Amino acid sequence: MKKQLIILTIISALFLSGCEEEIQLDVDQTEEQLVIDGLLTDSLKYHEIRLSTSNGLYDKNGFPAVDNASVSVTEKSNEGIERIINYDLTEKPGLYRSQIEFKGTIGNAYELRIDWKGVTYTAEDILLPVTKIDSLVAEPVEDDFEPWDDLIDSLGTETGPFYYIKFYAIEPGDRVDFYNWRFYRNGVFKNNEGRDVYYASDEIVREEINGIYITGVYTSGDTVYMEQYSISRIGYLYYFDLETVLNSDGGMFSSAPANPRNNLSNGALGFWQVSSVETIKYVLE
Amino acid sequence: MPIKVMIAIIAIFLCSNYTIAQEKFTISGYVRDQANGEELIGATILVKELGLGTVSNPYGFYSLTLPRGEYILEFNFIGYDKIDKSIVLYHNIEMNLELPASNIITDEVIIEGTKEDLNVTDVSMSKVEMNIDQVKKLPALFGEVDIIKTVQMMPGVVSAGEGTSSYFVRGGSSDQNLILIDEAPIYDPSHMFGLFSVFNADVIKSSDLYKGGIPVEYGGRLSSILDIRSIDGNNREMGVNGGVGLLASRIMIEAPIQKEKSSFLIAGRRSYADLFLKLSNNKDLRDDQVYFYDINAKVNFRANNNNRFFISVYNGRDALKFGNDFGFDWGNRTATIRWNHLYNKRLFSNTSLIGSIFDYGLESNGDALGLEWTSNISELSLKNDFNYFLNTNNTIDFGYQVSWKRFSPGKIVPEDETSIFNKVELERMYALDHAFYAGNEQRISSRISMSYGIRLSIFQNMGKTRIYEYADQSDNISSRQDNILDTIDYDHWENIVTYINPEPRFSIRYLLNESNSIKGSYNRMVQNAHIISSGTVPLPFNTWNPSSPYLKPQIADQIALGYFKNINSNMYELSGEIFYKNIQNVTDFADNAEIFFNFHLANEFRQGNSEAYGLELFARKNKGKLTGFASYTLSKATRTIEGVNNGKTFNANYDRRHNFNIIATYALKERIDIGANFTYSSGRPISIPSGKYEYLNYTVQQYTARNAYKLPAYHRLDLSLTLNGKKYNKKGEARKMTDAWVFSIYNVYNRQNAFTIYTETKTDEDGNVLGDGRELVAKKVSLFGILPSVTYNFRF
Repeated sequence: MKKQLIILTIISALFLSGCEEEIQLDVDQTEEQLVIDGLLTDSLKYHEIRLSTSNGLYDKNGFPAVDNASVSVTEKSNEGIERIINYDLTEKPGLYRSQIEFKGTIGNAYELRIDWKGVTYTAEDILLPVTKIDSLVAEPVEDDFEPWDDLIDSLGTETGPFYYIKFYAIEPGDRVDFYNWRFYRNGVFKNNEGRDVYYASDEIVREEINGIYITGVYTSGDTVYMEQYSISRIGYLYYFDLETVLNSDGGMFSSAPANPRNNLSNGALGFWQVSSVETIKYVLE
Repeated sequence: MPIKVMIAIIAIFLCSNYTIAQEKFTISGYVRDQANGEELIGATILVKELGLGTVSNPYGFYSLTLPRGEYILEFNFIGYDKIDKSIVLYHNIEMNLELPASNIITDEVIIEGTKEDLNVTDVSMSKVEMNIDQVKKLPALFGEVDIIKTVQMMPGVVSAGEGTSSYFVRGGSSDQNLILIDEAPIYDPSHMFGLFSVFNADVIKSSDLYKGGIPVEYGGRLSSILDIRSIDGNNREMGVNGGVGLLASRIMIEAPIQKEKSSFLIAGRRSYADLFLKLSNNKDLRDDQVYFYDINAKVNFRANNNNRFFISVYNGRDALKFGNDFGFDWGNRTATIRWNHLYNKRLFSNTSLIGSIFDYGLESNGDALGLEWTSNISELSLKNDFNYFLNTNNTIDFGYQVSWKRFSPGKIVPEDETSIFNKVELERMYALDHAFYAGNEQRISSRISMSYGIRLSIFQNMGKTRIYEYADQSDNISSRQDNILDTIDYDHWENIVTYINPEPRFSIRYLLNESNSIKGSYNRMVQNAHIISSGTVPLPFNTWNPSSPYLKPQIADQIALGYFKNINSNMYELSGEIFYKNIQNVTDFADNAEIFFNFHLANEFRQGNSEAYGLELFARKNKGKLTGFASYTLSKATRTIEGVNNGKTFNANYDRRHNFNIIATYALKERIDIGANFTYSSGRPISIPSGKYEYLNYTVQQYTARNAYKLPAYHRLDLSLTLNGKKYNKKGEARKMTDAWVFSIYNVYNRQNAFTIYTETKTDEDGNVLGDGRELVAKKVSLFGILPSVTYNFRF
């Protein structure tokens, strides 16, 4: 829910009258569209790409996997050297894995090519460097912190101790950087129930990343893991738009929602992300 | 139409109006309220013998030039007793006239024999006047009387949504409405995000809404002008006026400084929701701050009948703060200094120096995210309007206006060293906006009158600022370095681009008989200030941009035709109008536009075409125990803009097919009035997802077309009961104090109107994801169910 809406709801709640109810929208079944969830990093590994299609708003059958596509990535170095890496479908529906183990190189461009149902979808992204994560720091919650039921259930403790986690890094000031962060608690991806996306541009961020809070509240024994990805400008725009779509208020105060801008051709949804990645793990005592 | 042609046409009209040499004299003066000396705006002065007349101007001044002779002048103003004055005109006469307020309650079904009535006879069409006395008797949200909520009930006007102060006029967006208080523009008329407007009802003297056939002295916005004028302050005796409501209280003091010569007025209003929060058990709520206030002050000084001075000031502000984490505030400040001067009995001038500032600030605390964000727009204008009462057949208005405008779209200051934010400021932008205008209202014959003129808008976008030259201005994807070809720095006052636009205006009235007329109008309007918001309702946190090399002026052409009828000796006014409006260069933004703190906003601008047409029906009952109006509007509004919705035509945010409103007050007993509002409006167009897909762990909404879905229709009934205090004390003497209790019920049948619809992952009440997190649900947000309120108003 958008901030403005929250505020309005607070104001109206003050007078015990605002209300929110679930309704059924009368929508036509949409045309299925290819969805690409692809990531290639500078880590040495078998890289994976997931393909699926969109489905109807009220379709409960899960997202259809795309198993009959041909997938390859072309690495293009600055010197003009090209190498083609083919991907094969794995035993998991819609999941494709590179035939070889490899790592991306900073400065190289990676072109994804997918042929499916007679249409060729392409995308190109460039691998940019990323700064190291300096440290993760646990900070006890405020004295008057009152855990909510859901939090007690997920952390398995009613009494705590409860912590917020902050992270620190040095932001190189001499270049334009875009970031994507992913946070995990005990191996589970945290995104505030599918509403939050973590990304930034250093246009307004200073040369230090000084204690940005990781989403969520943590307790003793938790393993906190985070990944810091470099993204290209189009990657930044994609995540920016993704967050907007996930939190759209229907155009009342914000813009009319639209599919995120991405680097995919022929109207494919999703994103082809090529990144350097830095990770850090921290176990709360 | 080229200017030369217009001038030639005006010249022909003026010359054709030759008169036989005959000695003529002028009778002129001011029309005032007998009780407090307030000038009356729009009072009619009818020369009974000739069947023609004039109307007092916004400063209460009238002037009639007639051949030598004996006449009976009838002075008339709604809500006042009519006065006939016999005059023998053989030299110039200066006559100030005071009208006594008629006692509405005892006036039941007395039918007055006014033959002239502005609804039928006035050349202007597409114009509505709001009667503030009636507005005060109507039910109001939280008991706060709000003139904007009545504006939203007028034909051709639709509310942007429940509890907003935004409105749309004849297929125009809400930023196309110019809102003036004592000639100073108000950039955001909302308190509490629009639950209330900034206008304190106690200080309003007149409020006129122009939707079409807009007079030449107004310009700058495409769709409407809401001209609100405040009262000057009683110059006979001191008066105190006030009200205590559930949410806010207000008080106004007016008094003479020098009796009959000068007076002042000061009014204040403040909300106290935050005081209730202080009583809350929840510590977080206790630290919260939610308040707004308004201060209106005015001083006027009548040096003599030829010179009068006014100073009028408004300051209003909202502040909201949630705990120590997040807060924001916004407000308007305006000041108007006016000098009314009579050069001679026929040439009236008003010179105004006007300042207006709108600003907002956001503040967030917390080590890394601490920042303070501020933005403002300010303008300083000099305006000179002349009314030349040439003769009984021609009244000429001309003048000029020059405005200096500064747009400061945003500045971020980090809270302290630990903040991740840099200190940054978006480029400020400057403009000089000139307008020259001349128009004539001409009586051609007893049946035909017309008004015509031209306004010449000259807009200069100036330095000091930095302009980027882009490889592709509409490219909002490529990296900045790749897209920027060059940067040009302009110095202070250095011209960047000039836009010159003539704006012809024309209206005609043909009187079928004394109670029926048809009217037609055409107007062109130009807008050089563009709001940077792509939502339906502008928030106070929206900035404005001037026309610039990348943002062309928006231009609207509108034609309207109407039929006007009064029946039963003007007890009922009826009108029907049709309009067609076409807007060029309507400003919109690319899909996914990043309009918040974007250094390269120019890359997000998209300009295109907007079209609207409709039918408006209006019926008003002015007299009797039951008064009020009903309005119905059938209309359609679309936009077609390259780069938005794939260039395909889409329903504008402000498109509402049907709109129906009734407002009524009924004098039940001597001391009891009841009031009712009913409003019905087709649902707002909205973009809803047509499907969904998965990326990482997110279930993402898929969209196909903009604004293709309509929210359910909006309708609501409100009722009010006004209990007026006793007029006489036990001894039978008139009480000095008058008071009233106003009880209101908002949304009587508790309809849960859809404010908006949004979709999100399916969760339970506590926000826990249900199932595998792949299901989306649509949620309807409603703001206000049934809401009773009470207000106590007094005056002594």
